[in-house]
Amino acid sequence: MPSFTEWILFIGSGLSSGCVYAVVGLGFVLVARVTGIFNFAQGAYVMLGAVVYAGERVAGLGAVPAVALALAAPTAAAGVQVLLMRNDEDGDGGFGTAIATLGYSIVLEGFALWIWGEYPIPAPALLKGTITIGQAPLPTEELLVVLLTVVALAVIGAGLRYTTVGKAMQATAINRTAARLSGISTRRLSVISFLVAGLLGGMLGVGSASVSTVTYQAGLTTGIVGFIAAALGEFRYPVRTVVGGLALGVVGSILSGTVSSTYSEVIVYGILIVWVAGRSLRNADFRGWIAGVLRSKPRSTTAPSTASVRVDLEATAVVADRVGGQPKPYAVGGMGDSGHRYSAVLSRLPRAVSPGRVLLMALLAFGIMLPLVDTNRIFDQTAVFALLAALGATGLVLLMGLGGQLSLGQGMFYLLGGYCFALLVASHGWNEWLAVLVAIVVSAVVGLAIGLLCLRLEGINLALVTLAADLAAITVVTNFTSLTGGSLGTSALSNAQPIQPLAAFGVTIGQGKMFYYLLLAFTVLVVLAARNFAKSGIGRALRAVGSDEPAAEGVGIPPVRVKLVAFVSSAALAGIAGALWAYYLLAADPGQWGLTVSINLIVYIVVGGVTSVYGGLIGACVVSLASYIAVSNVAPGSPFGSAVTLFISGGLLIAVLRFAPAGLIDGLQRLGGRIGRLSPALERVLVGRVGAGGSVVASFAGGAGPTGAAPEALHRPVQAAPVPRPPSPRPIGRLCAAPIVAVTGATKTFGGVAALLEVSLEVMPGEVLALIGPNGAGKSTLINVASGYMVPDAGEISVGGRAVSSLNPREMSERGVVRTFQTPRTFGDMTALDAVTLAVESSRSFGVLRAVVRWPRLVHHERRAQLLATKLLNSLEIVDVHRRIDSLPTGQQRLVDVARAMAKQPACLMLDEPAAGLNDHETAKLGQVLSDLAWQGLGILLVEHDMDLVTAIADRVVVLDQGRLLTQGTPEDVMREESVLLAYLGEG
Amino acid sequence: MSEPLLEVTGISAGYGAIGVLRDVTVKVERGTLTAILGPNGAGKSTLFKAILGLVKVTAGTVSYKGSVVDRADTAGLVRSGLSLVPEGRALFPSMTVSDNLLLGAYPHRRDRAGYRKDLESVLELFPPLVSKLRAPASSLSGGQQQMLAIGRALMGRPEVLLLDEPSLGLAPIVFQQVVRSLDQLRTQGRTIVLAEQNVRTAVKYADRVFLMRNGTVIEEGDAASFADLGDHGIGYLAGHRGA
Repeated sequence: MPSFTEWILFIGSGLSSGCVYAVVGLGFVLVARVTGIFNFAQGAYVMLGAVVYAGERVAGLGAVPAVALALAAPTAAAGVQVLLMRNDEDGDGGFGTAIATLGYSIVLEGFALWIWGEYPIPAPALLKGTITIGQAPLPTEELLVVLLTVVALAVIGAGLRYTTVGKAMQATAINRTAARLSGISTRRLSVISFLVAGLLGGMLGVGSASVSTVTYQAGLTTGIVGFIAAALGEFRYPVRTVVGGLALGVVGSILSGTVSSTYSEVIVYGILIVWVAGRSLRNADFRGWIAGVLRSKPRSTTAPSTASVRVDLEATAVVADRVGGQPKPYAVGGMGDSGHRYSAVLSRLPRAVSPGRVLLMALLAFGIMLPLVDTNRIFDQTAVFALLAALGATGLVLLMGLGGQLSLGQGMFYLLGGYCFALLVASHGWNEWLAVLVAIVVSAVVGLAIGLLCLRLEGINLALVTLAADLAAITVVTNFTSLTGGSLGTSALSNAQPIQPLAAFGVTIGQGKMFYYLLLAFTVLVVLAARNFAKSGIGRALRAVGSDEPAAEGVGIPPVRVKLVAFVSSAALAGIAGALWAYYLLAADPGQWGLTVSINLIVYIVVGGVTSVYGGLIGACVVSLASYIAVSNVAPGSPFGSAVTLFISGGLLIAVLRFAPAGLIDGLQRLGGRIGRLSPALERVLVGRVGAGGSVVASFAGGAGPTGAAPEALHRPVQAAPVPRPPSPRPIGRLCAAPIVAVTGATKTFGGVAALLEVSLEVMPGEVLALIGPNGAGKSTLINVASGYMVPDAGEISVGGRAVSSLNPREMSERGVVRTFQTPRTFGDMTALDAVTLAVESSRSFGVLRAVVRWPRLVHHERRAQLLATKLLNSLEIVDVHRRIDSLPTGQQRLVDVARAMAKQPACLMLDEPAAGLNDHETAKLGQVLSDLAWQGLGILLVEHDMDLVTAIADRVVVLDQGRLLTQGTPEDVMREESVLLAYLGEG
Repeated sequence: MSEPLLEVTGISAGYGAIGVLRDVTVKVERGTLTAILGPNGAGKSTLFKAILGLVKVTAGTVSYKGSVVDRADTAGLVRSGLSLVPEGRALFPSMTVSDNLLLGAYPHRRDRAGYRKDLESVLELFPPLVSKLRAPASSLSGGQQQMLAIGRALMGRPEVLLLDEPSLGLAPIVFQQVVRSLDQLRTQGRTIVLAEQNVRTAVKYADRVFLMRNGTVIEEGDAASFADLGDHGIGYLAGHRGA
């Protein structure tokens, strides 16, 4: 048991390190509140301040000028950073901007390394002496740091609360647009917040430089712990952040004093992980969630009464074709099972040319030639490490580029894989390949555990936890000497046997060129597998989740499970790469897989391009090659030489995000598109063939090309075509007497205002029920409640006669209730064909292994789904199915949304203003399709302002006003009622 | 006729690659109340956002006081006297009423005397706010929130006040009050542009009316020529051309 004096000492030193966390966290909070950006360069400001102060003092500068310089340097760095930021990044807050700040952090690190060298600089103390509390002598400087923290918190807290500029900052955090509309220049506030953050960093740097020695590498870890403190303050509350930072420091200090001094950092990271786990548990109905995650196939829980009214989609498409009377380029007769028919149709579609293919072939040729270019041994090693990085980066592209999930600690899986391999082989004498297998399994299992912990929460949690886990793992392998050999690595273990170099058929491959070629072949296989993954159902599902998670859930995709698949795959890939890495080096040591591995992986995929599966490979190769060339051209041993790789990776990261945010691949594609437009002949060479219209060029140019002729034609003014009414009344309810969906007495209030007050409504099979009412009447709320997107405060929803209480959108869609959104939520970065295909196939399970090998039956089903999707889209006259959805006119985007909903084969379709933004011709067509669907027994709930459409196709109209049901009846009757007129037009 | 104070000439604008607005032209004379009418989705809000630089304008120009405005700089436009009260009011709900008003005066934050004078005249226009100055904006009723939103815009001393659907969520009687205070502002020489679905009230007070549908202006004219619009009933919402 520690004595009282020791307690005081623990708390004292804990407070001073806690203050560092707290103030870095404060910087995070300030910048995040005003700009919405997670600024990972925050730690680098502290490092810069510390290094400048220490370096200049050692160089003989007086205390005052050194302090001034140490305050000025990080402030200036922050200023340059914010000025280099694009204007529209201000307030973006996306991952891209956060990652760009990582680039600045790397560059600052390189700068410090260049000027002040790699060794710790001992700074003379700013204040000398100690202050005795109890009997514990506390260094005066520690108290200075505490004092600085208190002052910083007070100044920032009071500034935010009492000054007009501070209030403007708060206002900006609450609502950026409203702030700009009040005449507040948010850009200027961003600059101010960055400058203050830089100044804070400088202050702290001076304080911490005199407490302990500092190296150029201190920035990242300082920043990360500060990030954790800011997370404890939810990136919003200064006081909570400071308290959180101090608590981290004190708890870490006490535990390191009483339990273990080596693992105090691990404890701090552990606190974070426990905190996230707590939130995850609190958020989740845990058992239901695990059951959901583990369920291999979606339940088919369609209520029996609704199943009978499911619609023959193919018939619908055909009917729509027949009625349309427009040219139908790709429509064929009934689909049947005969394979040749749809493949014939597919071959006529303008196929999206994968521009990556040309690049990939070029890269492969380059890769094969590479070892012949230069026989230098370091060059060989660089090439091998580039490929090993490419493996992990490819996994990360799946996770981040497709699924939109950020992992900052992917290097941990390298470390796990590498150590698993080396320890099993060296200490336990296992067979090498068995060890590789175990390494994969271990990485995947750890990935699964972390994924289960984080993927239910919002994105930043995964970034936080992977980062913390990576740092903890690095600390453990460095210090657990008896198991891992400590910082010298596994070869220093006393019981270790040397690992035998890779050999095949009696030939030793070892570390020579053969290893490179084998690795190259393996990498090509992995990249191809990743490509297959991306273009299969699972890849489409992942992209949908990354694009719009709630909408993906509405299509029937289980988001957590899909994200988990991506994360575990990426972990396994990194694990393989780590094991092979250890096999190549014949040992594992912590120096191989420091935090830089994790950071570099992100640099690679961003530079290469996260949206392409080839991005990781290309990025790893380009950055490694650039670094190699730079290093070999700088005088060895010069201070600049050691920093140059940092400048290259940081600089490339910043430059790519600034000028080609979608990465080099996208940049090359755009360039290709531009050249293609200049010269059709060249395009033919590049692309291989010229497709229909401008679509090939457009897809080649990443959607930025000419919009093509087809949509223009669709938009030509058409005489307002009256919607033909069906010949006779529809046999509503002929299939079953019960309503498909019934809402009874639903009430929903927001902040005390009732958006919906005891509204009841039934959708019968075979009817079009229109829901109308002025803006703000509660129509969207009613649809949200009826489709499982919102839980009503009171009232009951039943589907197919069965009451449902806590169904989520996915389960509602499995029961046959599918909806569209007022603002189309159509996965803008996917093509129309992909989005609708996804909906067709979402009721099937997504087999990962079958996807990776493109299993013939899977491909067969996929083709069928694609054909059906094409027909559905064509039936709504969306011809250009290979265009990105967000490049389609708004009206067509809406129709893609409708097609996607139809593809779910719903029993009840809920459409929120489907005709908004449609031209008359499109509206007429939509009306026809909806009318046909109702004929086949679907119940349709239509929220619509277009009264022509409502009059033409609705069987019944329900009018809402101010959250209440005003009246209902036939369209004609309702329109004549004075109360409806009043609600709409106001009193005269 | 003098040169229009605010002139939108042939603009196309929207979100992403494809536009919502197509070739919209609107002229607003100094000291008038202009009503922009049209059903949901007609493009009224997008027009306002395009004027203030909140959505991307792909073609055409917006000129204010005779010069083409830099549409990238929303805050600058507000400072030069072009103010928007957006749909849904966009207050700072957790801040007090007086802080909301203070932030409205942000462009003139050094002019303390002027601020007090502006505050007095806003409170004179909207007396219900006086007793609520220390209350958070979220505790106000819908009508009071609308008053606060307009008041906050007035604190910036706008010459042109654009209002996007101020009737939203207000009882008709409350909306009448709001429109009457707008009328009062016009008589003080301010220029007002009002986007509305509430046709009858808007037409009653407007000088000039523009009717939008599907992203374009389909008709414009003096308010008198739209006076019978209400009698066409709900048909207007269907956008029968020439209704």
